[in-house]
Formats: sequence, structure tokens, C-alpha cells
Amino acid sequence: MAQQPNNKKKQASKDASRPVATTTKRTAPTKAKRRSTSSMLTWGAIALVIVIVAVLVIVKITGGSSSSTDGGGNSSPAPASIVSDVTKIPASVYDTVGIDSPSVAVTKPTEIKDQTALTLADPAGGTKPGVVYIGAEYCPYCAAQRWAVVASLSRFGSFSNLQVTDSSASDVFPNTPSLSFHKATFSSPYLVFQGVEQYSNVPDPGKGYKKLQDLTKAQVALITKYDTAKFLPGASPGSIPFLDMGNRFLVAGSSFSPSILSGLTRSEIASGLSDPTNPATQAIIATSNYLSASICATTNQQPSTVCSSKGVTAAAKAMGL
Amino acid sequence: MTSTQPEVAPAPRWAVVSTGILALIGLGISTYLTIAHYIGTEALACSDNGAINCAKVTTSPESVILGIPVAVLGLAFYLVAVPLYSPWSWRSRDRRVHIVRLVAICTGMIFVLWLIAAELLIIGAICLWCTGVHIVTFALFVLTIKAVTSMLDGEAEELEVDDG
Repeated sequence: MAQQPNNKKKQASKDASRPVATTTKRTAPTKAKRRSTSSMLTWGAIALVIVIVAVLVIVKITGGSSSSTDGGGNSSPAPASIVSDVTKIPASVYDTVGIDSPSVAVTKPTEIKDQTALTLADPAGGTKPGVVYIGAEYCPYCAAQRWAVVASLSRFGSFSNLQVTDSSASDVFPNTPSLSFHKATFSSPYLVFQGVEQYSNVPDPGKGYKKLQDLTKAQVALITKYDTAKFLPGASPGSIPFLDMGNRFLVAGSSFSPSILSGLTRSEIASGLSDPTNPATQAIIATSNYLSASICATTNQQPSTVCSSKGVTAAAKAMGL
Repeated sequence: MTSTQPEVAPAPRWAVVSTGILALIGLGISTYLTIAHYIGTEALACSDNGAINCAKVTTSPESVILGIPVAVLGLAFYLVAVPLYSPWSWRSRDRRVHIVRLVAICTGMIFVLWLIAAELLIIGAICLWCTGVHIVTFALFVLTIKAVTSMLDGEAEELEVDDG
């Protein structure tokens, strides 16, 4: 029979009238003992959690890397809003900016002549004019240039799985926010694009930065042949970012100084791309128009809506095309 | 043989007040994270550079479990936690209510440890708002164990076995 505690005294007196031998009473733990059990459980739980978190931190510090199969990069999928801001810049912004970047100088691509046109195999079949970008996530000049490359190429096709990353925290123009071509794909009816990020922005003691992607033999051949002072006066051999547009136009280094992006967040850069008066936007868009004019020269001026637009024709004129 | 019905001791006042407030804070942050998940990570007031990178964490593959966004799971947890940590629930004399609360927070804490492991070892970035939820959950975990174990321990006082 169950009894409530307020019946305890009654029960005790009832028990007292019974023969002692027939009743067993289990002694209740003292208040101090109960407190001790409760405290022990509490402290035990705290200790367990702290130990688990400490182990995780130690594993992380002592070399626990990301699950990335290609070296442990530090990029992540680009938020949809950023992708939209960069890949859907209004045509009016390209046309308003043209090639004007009053705040920072923009360098035109270098035209090279009498080279075999670069064509690349299209996954959908056949070949198309090729555009190859070679860079690295740690590189601040690559970080600046990618904004313009993505903006320009988005007028010829569409990207999937663009990533976001920042340049190295310990290099010049530290932590320049950018996009990354690592894991990204591009499809276009006009051209084939290959974007390679050779290294991440994650330091690899003694080796520089953790490796992300290897160059193909064909890409090695391109950078070895064209990324030299012979074709790009003043360029150091193999300098990045390197951009080859159809073996007709080359860019080594960034077309504008990353300093114009200094202090801006990725979101500010991206959202500012709809404002033709924004200094960072002007640098990115002017570069993009130069790149688009170069690409148009390899795609037989297709698509005409892009290649005959005011901004691109202004760039083509400035390049003497 | 007779024995007294196991009974639950009254909840300590400090537990009722502190856990109620913490549950509401957890609900607030997880609501914010869920809204940010659906309207875009731009809504997150958080760094998106370096090791502190909310967008990187909340858009990572680990931010979805079995097709359900982790932010939504967090919100669901706190929607259950708020009534479980209400004064009315703490006053319940039904020990099952307190055991459910204890099991729920232990489950939540295990989930938080998994998320911390994912942030540190897989994603390589920390989300400050998520960390806020983790701290609230940990605090609830500690307070709940302390309070509920002492409350449930109250039954020992009443335990009597009569062999007569």
C-alpha cells in the first residue's frame, strides 16, 4: 500500500506498536549525503563536457583538418545573395562605368598575337574557345581579380557552386574577401572556362599553404609558356593570378590594386556592385568590361548583347580592337 | 510489504528562475538563426572572415541533418524546452516530467557536442550565434542536472519497506 509522506508519523507510531522483528526500515540518506550525490553528478557532468570540448580543441590545434579530400581548404559555398549580386549585375552598371575607375588604376589585358587559339573540350561535346584562370585562395591579387572574372564570365554563361574565401591573413592586403573557383563549375554556349585554385589560404608549416588543386599538363604548359616576361612584360615567371583568354589576351596579377577592397566585407563589395558610383564597383566593372572585350574577341563577338554593349565596346576601343 | 510513493521534492527557486530565462534566451537565438537560414546569411550580424564565420557554418553541409536544417532543429528543441522549463512544469509533482526534462537536455547537450566537433574539425570555423546557443544549452544542462537530481533524490527520504 502506498503512503504519502505526511502519513509518515502515523506509520512510525503504527510500526512502534508492532513486534520489532517483523519490521525493517531502510534508513534514509542524510541531507548532506543527498547534496553530495547531486553535486557529484553536476560536477561530473561539467567535467565530462569540458573534457570532450578540450579534446576537440586539442585535436583541432594539433592538426585535425577538415574533411576536404583535397588538402583541407578554408572556402565554403557562396551565399545565394552574394552569387546573385556578382553574377546579375545590371547591364546599365557595366555601361555607366565603362572603363572609368577614378579611384584606382585599371590595367588592360595584354594582347598577344600569332599564337594558336586556345580551345578546350566542352563537356557537352566538341570544343569551344577557352579561358583559363590559375590562382590560389591565399593570394590577395587573385582575391581582387576574381570579382571581375566572375562578373565578366557570368555575362557569357553561368557558374554553379561558387565558393567564398579570403586571402591570407599574413600576406599583403590581408583577408581580402573574395569568391573561389575551387569546386565551382561553369557552363556556357560560347566558351569553356577552367578555374584552378592551386592552394588554399590555410598555412601548411614549411610548405606555404595547403594544396587544393593540381594543374593539368595542358595548364602547366600554358603558364610555363605565357606567364613570362616574354609575353607579359615585367611579369615574374609563373606569377598568379594568371588569366589566359583564348591565347589572345593575358593577364598576370590583378588588374587593379586590392587596396580598393580594403576594409570592405564581402557583402559590402557584392551589394555595392549595383552602384556605378562606388569606387570598388568601378574598379571591378572596368576590369570586367576589359575582360569581356577580350573574351568577345575569341567568341566571334558572341553574345552580341554583351559584345556590342556600351561598356564592352568602350573597353574594346581602349584596347585598340 | 508496504512502501511510500516516490515523491519529488519542490524545485529550487534558483533553478526555476535561471532555467526559465535561459530557455527563453535559447528560443530567441534559435529563432534568429532559423530566420537567417531562410532569408539569407546576410541577415546574420557576424563576421564572415577567418575563424569566426557564421555564414560558413550555417551554409555548410553539416548545417543540415537528414534534410532538416540544424537551425530548425534548434528552434524545435527550444520550443519544447520553454514549456519544460516553465514554473508550472517545475512545480509538477509528477517525476516523469522532470525525467523527461533531464533526458531532453542531455540529448541537447550531446547534439551540441557534435556541432562543436563539426565546427572545429570539419567546417573549420566557429559561428558566434551558434556558440551562444551552445553556451545556453550547457548552462541549462548543468542547472538541470543539479536541480533535478536533488529533486528526485527527495524520494529516498520517503522510501520505507515494511517486511511485516
